[in-house]
Amino acid sequence: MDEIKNTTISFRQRVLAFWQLFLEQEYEIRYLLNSLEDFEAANKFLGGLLATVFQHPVFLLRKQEEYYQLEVSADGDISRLYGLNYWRMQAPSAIEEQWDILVGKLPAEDPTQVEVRMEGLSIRADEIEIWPLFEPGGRLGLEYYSPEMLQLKPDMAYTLFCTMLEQCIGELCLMTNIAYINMLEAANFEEPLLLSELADFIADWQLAGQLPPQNDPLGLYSDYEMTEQDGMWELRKDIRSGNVSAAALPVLNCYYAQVDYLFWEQAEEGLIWGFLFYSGAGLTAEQRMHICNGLEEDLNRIAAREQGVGECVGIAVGLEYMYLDCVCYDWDAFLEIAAQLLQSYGALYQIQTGGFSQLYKGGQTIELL
Amino acid sequence: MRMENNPMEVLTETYSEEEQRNYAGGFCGFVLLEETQYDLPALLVRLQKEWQITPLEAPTVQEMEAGNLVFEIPGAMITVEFLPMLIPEGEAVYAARHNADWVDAVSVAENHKAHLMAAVLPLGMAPLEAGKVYVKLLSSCLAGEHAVAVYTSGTVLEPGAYQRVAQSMREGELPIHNWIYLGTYETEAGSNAYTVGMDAFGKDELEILGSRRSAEELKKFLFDVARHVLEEDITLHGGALVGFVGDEGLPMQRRDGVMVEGHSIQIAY
Repeated sequence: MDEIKNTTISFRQRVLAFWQLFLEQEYEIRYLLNSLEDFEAANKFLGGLLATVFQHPVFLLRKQEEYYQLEVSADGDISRLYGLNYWRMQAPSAIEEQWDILVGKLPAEDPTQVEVRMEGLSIRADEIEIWPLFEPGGRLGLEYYSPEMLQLKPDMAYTLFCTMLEQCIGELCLMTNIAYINMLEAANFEEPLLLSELADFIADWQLAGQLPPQNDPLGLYSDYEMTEQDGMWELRKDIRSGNVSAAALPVLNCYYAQVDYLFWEQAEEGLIWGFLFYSGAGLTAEQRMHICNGLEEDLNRIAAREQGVGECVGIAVGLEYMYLDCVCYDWDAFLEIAAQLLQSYGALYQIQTGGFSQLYKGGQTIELL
Repeated sequence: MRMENNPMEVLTETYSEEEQRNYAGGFCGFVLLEETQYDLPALLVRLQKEWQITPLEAPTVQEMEAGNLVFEIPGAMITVEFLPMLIPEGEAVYAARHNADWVDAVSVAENHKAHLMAAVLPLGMAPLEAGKVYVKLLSSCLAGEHAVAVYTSGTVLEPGAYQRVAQSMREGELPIHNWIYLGTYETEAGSNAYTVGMDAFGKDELEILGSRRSAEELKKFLFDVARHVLEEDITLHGGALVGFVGDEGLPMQRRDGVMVEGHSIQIAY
């Protein structure tokens, strides 16, 4: 049975230690920026502090007039937002006098100035034509046309467009509102927007209620259905439908694709993805959902809000089992709470089987009933 | 330095359940450098060879060349960062003035050109063990080229003295002198003394105020109390008594610190 390697320290402990160290040492960063104007050294120092939490932190340090800004990015991996958001929420209030701590790259102040020059080309955001398409579920597909980008290799053009898109609308807005992007080989007949105008377009439709009201990827949930699988009485193979946070979906997709890199990358930082499960044998459908909803509510009340050790991010219904997908910031502490809750429901409803499993193929499973 | 013949005990009378402890966190200090360069890979080798401190996962050369050494050991995180600048705002020079035992402390502090920030963050490791790791870490840092002093617990210490105390750990001694600074000062009320460094262990700092005893007596007494508290992992409470076995117990109060931040245990000695 695989075990968590390379760390004995929970994500929660790392985060608390970081903020303690940051609180004590942030004056050195300010001194480097103010007195020495040595941004390189300040970035290196801050990178070292962030390395106590994140294996490969992606961040931007800015000095504003009245305060300092630290912007930490998920670098394209929406599943990292849980950890980043948790890290941000643990920041001591004392630092807020001097620091603005942000999760997600901000958009450029003036998107018309977003420009990339490469391979002799100049590609400007106010010259790229786009056609936003409203998708079911309240997000946007984007088709875009740029004669300059067509001169590049497709993967280069895609990467470049994503970068410019993020610069124009911001990282969290992109993750929340954009479902897919597609490069066109010729301009669409319909009247286009310009990429530099997309941020205002999204803001208008958010106000109109046609898009998510806030740029909060953690607030988006997706329903999904599964087809019948071989070995359907094994854990998770009996699932027929579920509802999961959009930010957790990549981890789930990796699990089903039997590709575990997302799990292990975050496990190295002490953050563990897993699921609580229990057998529904002998229970009515109504009882199954009642228990599931109760567990979800109790987990989020105790584990998330009261103790800050983890949270429930989705629910799935199987033929044999019910599942609650979770992200654990302190695996041991979260497991203890989950065990107590499952055992109390188990005793009340005569549930025979239940446990907690880590979300990778062959993941460590602990029986709790 | 053990008080074999004069064991100490704490005679507790009352406990207050509402007392709040000072914040207990990691261990953090600075190594002053006379040049703007330092060999972090060599430090990692020394830690492993001299003290058997081995990362669970080795840091990359790239990270170390960027001036950062961050790694995990069971129960703790260790971080050493190189900063190519003086410790800001003359802080090291101010702290150096507190070390009357080292004549050159102030001039060394004034002339340093760069420094290392070195921290041990106990995440599951007992504070006492983390404190030992911290001393080992600073001792290894001081063995590197260009290291000229260590700034920790509010004072600046000479490398040789620090390393001698560190080596005494091999004989089972606790490196109290490397952990705890003992300060004294005079006021109209008399002699006063205080500790700096107990908070890293989750303990209140200790103070003696307005005593008629000499500064040396106060330092010796506070040293013994601090050692006893750390060795036995005792939490002192206001309203209790402390003293050597056979002697009359001395009353303690937990109040706002006078020379230290937060609360302190003030002993009537």
